Amino acid sequence: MIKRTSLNRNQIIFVWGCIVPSFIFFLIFYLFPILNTFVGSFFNWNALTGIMKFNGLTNYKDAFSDQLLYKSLINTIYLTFFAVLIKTVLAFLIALFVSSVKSFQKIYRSIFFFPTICTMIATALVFRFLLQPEAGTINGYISILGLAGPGWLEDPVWAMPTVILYTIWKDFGYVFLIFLAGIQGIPTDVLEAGDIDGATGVAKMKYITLPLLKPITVYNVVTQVIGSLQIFTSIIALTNNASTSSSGGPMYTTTTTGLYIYQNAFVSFKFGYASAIAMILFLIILIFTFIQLKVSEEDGGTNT
Amino acid sequence: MKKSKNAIKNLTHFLLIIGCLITLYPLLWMTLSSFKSTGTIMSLPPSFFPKEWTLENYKTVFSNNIGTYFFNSSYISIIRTVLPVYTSALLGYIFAKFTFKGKKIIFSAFISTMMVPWIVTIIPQYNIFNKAGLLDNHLALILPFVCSSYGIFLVSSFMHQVPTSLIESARIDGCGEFKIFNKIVFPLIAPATAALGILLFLAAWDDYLWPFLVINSDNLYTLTIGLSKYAFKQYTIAYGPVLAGSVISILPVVIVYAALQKYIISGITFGGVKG
Repeated sequence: MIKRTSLNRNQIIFVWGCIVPSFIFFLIFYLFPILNTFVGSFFNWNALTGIMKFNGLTNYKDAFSDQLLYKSLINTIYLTFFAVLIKTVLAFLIALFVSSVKSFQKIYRSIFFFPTICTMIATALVFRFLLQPEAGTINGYISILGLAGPGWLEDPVWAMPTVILYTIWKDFGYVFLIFLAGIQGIPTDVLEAGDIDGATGVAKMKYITLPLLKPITVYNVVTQVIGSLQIFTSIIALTNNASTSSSGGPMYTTTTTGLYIYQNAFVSFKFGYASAIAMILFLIILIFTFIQLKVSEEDGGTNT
Repeated sequence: MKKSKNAIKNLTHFLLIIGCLITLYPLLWMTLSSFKSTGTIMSLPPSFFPKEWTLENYKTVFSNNIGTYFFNSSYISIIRTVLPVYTSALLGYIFAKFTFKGKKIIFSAFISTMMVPWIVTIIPQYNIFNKAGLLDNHLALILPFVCSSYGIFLVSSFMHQVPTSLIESARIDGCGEFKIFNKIVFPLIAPATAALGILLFLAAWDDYLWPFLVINSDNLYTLTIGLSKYAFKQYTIAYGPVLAGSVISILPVVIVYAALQKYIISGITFGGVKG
């Protein structure tokens, strides 16, 4: 480490010459916007005219009696809970399987991870076509079996589970990859010591693998939750209705809070109200961010 | 004993292969169907392979401006890779190897932006570009991304691999600060910047919400926007061309993935698994 006293004139110019412009950058594009959203949430803020009229807590009061907001929050929690739960369990199991076979590990890893990096809009459209109720390929196969396929994205009951299905397919490779790296990172001598002590496969799993993977599991779950609470693009791609040019249907069953914020801000042009909802969702996300920070701190403290 | 172990192994492979097929099925269906004529894509009973291979869908999307969208996405994504890789590396280096007043606070401020969700920045960001008269302008797709807080974080944690003595001896030789960074430090952190660069490229290529908000003109669309606007503008979706467009949008990703998978994986696992 270079001591402070050793910073000469050239170094001072170099350091601050780089820090100052980047600070201005983060200030304009990230730090100021947070403050702006917070302040804006107390205003009647018309997006088209830009006129802001202070209205105190009115936006928040409106939010608490907004049935559609409640619905969007429930939808978001429904989506987040099932998508994260299934993704985590499935990714963990597949990571265990892949790490247990000695051959083709890299091929399995490449394939399972692949959907994660594919363009979201393209893959979501493909799912939409595949799951088209009348002429879609999946229902076509189901009808060959003599059964009637569900209405998928067009059925109010099935729409959200279909979104969850897509989310699992798209993102589970990410969770899988982190689990796999974690499992492969478990020192073999620890597992061999278990063998010598006569531990069975189940015991090794319970007393060695699972406890060692706990930090990674928490990291995975929290990251997934934070991402899932803000979901937007896949909802648009999966549910946009060309004739009404609106998304989140049928009957608002796939309207997530992220989408609802977007609709309020950029379809209804209510910047103030959208800011208030954004702050509410931000608060929920912050709770998970703090859990993440706490866990990574503990993890760093014990590991290094 | 050995026999049952083998049986378990074969069963595991069997399950994994089924998993792989399910994972790949939508992508294979997309690719094969993009060569079917539009009428046969949604015909029943479903067929996996095209009965007659046709390039008609690709011709349609190219006559619908997809070449422009592809070019826009490519050059914007490349700028959104090169610029933040360099700036983040520079700042990561400064935070890791220099001591100066307020360093901790500034570093925390920068890094905290990594965790800020889009929902609380999008309206003011939109306003900034609106007031600056930069809506419907590619600068709006580039300026918010010239530096990456994740990149600063990644590079600064990688910097311990660069020996301080090397930097100091270069300094004694009279090397300027920028030259030290460009000639000595930057090449040494190539593994970290490669991983960062690929992740940034993929994120830029996949970006949807922001270009969806700020870009209006057809000739300025990126591929993701062009594709979705094309898919949603008709009452009956033109399945074939949309699938051809989807294949085109995934093609660069496949190439990047095939060539540089190692770096993608190290970049992703960096956050979750401390090495």
